[in-house]
Amino acid sequence: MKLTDMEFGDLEAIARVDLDPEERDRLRLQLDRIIGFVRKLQEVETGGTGADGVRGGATGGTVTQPAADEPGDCLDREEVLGQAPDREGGFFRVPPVIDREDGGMES
Amino acid sequence: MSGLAGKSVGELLLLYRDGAARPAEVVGDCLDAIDSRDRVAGAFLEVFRDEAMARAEELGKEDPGRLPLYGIPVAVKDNICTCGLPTTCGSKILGRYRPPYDATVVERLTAAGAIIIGKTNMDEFAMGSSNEYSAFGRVRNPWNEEYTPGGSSGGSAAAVAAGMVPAALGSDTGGSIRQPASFCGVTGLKGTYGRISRYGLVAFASSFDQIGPIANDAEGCALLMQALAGPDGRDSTAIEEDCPDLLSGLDAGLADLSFGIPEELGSWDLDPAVASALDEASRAVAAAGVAPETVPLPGMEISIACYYVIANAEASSNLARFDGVRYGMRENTGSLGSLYALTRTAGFGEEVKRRILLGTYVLSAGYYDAYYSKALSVREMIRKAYGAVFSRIDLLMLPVTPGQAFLLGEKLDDPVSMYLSDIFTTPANIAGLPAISIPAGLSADGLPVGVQLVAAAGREDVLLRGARGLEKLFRFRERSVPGGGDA
Amino acid sequence: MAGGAGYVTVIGLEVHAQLLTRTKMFCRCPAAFGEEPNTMVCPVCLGLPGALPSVNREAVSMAVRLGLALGCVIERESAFARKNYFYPDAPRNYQISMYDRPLCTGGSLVFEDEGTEVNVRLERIHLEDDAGKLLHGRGGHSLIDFNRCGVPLAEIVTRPEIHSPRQASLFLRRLRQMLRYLEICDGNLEEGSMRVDVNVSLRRTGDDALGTRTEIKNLNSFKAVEAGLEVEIKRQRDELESGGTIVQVTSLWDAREKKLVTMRSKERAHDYRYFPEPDLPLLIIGEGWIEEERAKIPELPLDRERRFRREYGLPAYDAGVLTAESDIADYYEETANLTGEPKTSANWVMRDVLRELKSTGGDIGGFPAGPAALAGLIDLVKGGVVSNSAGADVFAAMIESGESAADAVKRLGLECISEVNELEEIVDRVLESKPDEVERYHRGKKQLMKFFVGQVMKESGGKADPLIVSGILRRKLGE
Repeated sequence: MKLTDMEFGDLEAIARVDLDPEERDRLRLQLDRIIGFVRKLQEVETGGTGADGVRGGATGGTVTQPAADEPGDCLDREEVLGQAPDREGGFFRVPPVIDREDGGMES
Repeated sequence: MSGLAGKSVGELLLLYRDGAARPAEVVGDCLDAIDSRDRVAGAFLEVFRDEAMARAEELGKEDPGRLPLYGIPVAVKDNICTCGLPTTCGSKILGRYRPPYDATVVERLTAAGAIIIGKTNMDEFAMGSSNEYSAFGRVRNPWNEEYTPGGSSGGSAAAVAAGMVPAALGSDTGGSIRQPASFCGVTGLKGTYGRISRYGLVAFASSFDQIGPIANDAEGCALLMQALAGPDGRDSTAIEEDCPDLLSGLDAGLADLSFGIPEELGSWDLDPAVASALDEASRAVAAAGVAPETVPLPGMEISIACYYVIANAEASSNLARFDGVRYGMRENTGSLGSLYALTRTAGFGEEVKRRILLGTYVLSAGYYDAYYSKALSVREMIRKAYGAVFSRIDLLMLPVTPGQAFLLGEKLDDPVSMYLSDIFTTPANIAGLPAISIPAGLSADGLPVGVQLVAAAGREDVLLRGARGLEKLFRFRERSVPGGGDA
Repeated sequence: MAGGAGYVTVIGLEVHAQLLTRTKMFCRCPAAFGEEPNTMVCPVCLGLPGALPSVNREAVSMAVRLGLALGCVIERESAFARKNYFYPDAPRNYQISMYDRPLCTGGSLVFEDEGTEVNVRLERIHLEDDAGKLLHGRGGHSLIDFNRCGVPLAEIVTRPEIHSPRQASLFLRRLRQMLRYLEICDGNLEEGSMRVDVNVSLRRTGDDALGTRTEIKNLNSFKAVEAGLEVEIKRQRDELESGGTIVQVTSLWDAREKKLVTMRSKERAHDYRYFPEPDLPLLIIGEGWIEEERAKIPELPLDRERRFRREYGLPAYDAGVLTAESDIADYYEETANLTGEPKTSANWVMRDVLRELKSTGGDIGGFPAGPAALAGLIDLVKGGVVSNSAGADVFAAMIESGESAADAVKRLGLECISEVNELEEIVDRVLESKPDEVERYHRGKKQLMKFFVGQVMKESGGKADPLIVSGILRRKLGE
């Protein structure tokens, strides 16, 4: 099975990358090969082992140890914003957010 | 390697305790070694010359016996956060990012008396097996400049192998400590998943990533591991139990350890040097006590596919945060959507983009069950298979890689072939088991090859004891030096 | 409830409740509001490379309490999951939420709709972290403040079992009341500490299949929920009746223009790719933890309302008003127990106390006249020391000065004139000064009694007991 242009374009859009045509062709071919390679997984008989039993990551038995609700230290704002590519006053700044995908924009 | 910088961690600690060396001398020697050798090797991305010297001077006033890593210079892989000091992950996208906090391991190293000497080169975001995917230039193998040091912790392995520093930290997601350690003729340890806190390790694949030491010998790895390991409230995946004592039983020998060798090894085309190293080890184990038994280990072949699906799924999400908004580089444009895409397209190298796209694919609607979900089931199956194996034996012995280091550029155009070279290392990550790479001998090309041991979860003590036993047998360090062939 | 002739309205709600923990969901930054932007942040909530989440135990506890209060199953094992999407208010570009293994499942919420009990079942309750805030900057730029980012949210999801906009609003009021009783969320829709997304579809009567549903966000008042739903239901009905089909869209409610604004849908880039959060192993809730939380649950609104009716003999309306907020109910109960006069106490609380709180916008915690003070006043009125009408002035004085009822009465000289002689003198004076009215009264205009009582009360400076006054008047006027 090969990735269609459409599918590959969707992947790029979801992953927020925008390849140039030459890179796109190359990566698409490679991705086809890699997907062909990992498709072998589907031939494995895993019996009753559901993905559900795997929760806990590679740790298997480890469980989350919740932390006490005690305030700790915050970062210094200048240190935080000093790393930002763009800022305005005490805020991080980005080009206009026209539409949101998950809820309303605050005003 | 002559000089203090080439000494092992244990040797340096003895020198300090005998008053035969001072931290400032050792750091000075390391800096000299870096100056003379790193121009070619390219192992370091950043050297903290002044900070390291200042710290060495400070330590000079303290009692060497009090701190377990007193005065030990350590190089740190550049995906581990160092407060106020550059942390690039070998990527352009982080720009000149300086984290406002230290990774837990950096805190622990410092508290143990170690001196962070600099940050080492790596495959971008730890994605690679040759260190050729760094945005800041390749690293050369200290044994032969035409070859890669392996990856992704290639800079760390090369720095230790070239005698620039006695120990380094790497990170191992699918073999990224063990494989370069093997290619460079040094010892590299990945602990049980969760043994060392990941807090401050820039995530590639959260459920596989482990920080671990690279050193000249098993003792060096044990000393570092002992100082780094242990629970950390900031990492919920860190093991809650304390790490077992790794040092007191280190020299207990191989006599009462039971070894296993995977049955499936026979179907692999191994480099003769790798095969003979395994044979040698096998005979020595038999001579010391019980001959290794052959154990069935199903799923070895499928582990690569399982690994690449889960690792890259997690990576696609972990690397979403690099978007040009809060830190790192930004490609300025008029709209947010294009800012994201342009920044990420320009900031990530091709291998990273390839993996992000694969990870996005296997998680996306319609493919999730067939790939990601299935891979989780396979992971569980592999974990169970290993559990069964370790109910019979103490240590599994197998190659680190099928062959020696590859030539620079050799596998760049063939990602799948590059991925396949991780066949023997990824299972330990999938099953979350501790594993170590020990230098065993040299290939026909004069390049080191290693042997790998894997232990049951939580048994780093057994693992290191076995490694120490084999190391005494191989006597690699006494017999071989980079550039010098057999000594 | 019909969505117009031939259609049944089907509404489901998703409510996000900001939990009142001290720190954030996955880090120990204070969950504080109104601070300078980007000062309540750390590597974890800023999503800095290498930082890892750790779960706030109290947030879990609060969600467990909510789950228990709503009759949910508390899952012994639940799992966090990543919801992946790029947006500048989400610094990791994924949200840590729960997906296929939520903390609570099932449960229901009961409320009354025009005298009928309605039971809406819940799908689930899960935990997640809040996003930062986006603001408009100069030149159309967007500015980001991450202080709110990481504040714990409990998301409550109903089954699509609500059948009118009014029911949706009643459900939300009851839920808000629960959250406030449990002291886990202040339930402020305007300020966004409680946020509501609704989905709505119309189903043809007699048809089993649900219609295509649409979603409305940005509903920041109960009124907005009702109004937004009304508009959308009408739109869907018109569309269906004119033979059209409903397209799955998400709209934002514009409260000022009272209209829905459809959001541009970005289908391509819209795949959340949920997967188990590898940074957080399973969350295990043992029996001990559950019992610990169960013990912290106070008497819940409906139980309390029923008990007020039973124990204090209050009418349903009074019981509802008095139990709307737990602190008011506490205040009432203490007052009633002190006076032994539940109905009179209810009247005082509902009329005087609540009116005062409403006009000042204060809360009962800071109210100058506590239950003991109010009970003192009620006792004085009951004992005839103060007239009912003077009581209101005493009450005003008490909340003004914070003094006790007895002190206020003394200071204002509002003790009832109970000396009959003194009252008789006043009555005589009034009757003498109003001969015309007395004349008309005798000719049969008996309604003038009220006028005479009023005049006497006025003369007495309000200190006379009107009952005694009318007795004297009747006697003097020869009846």
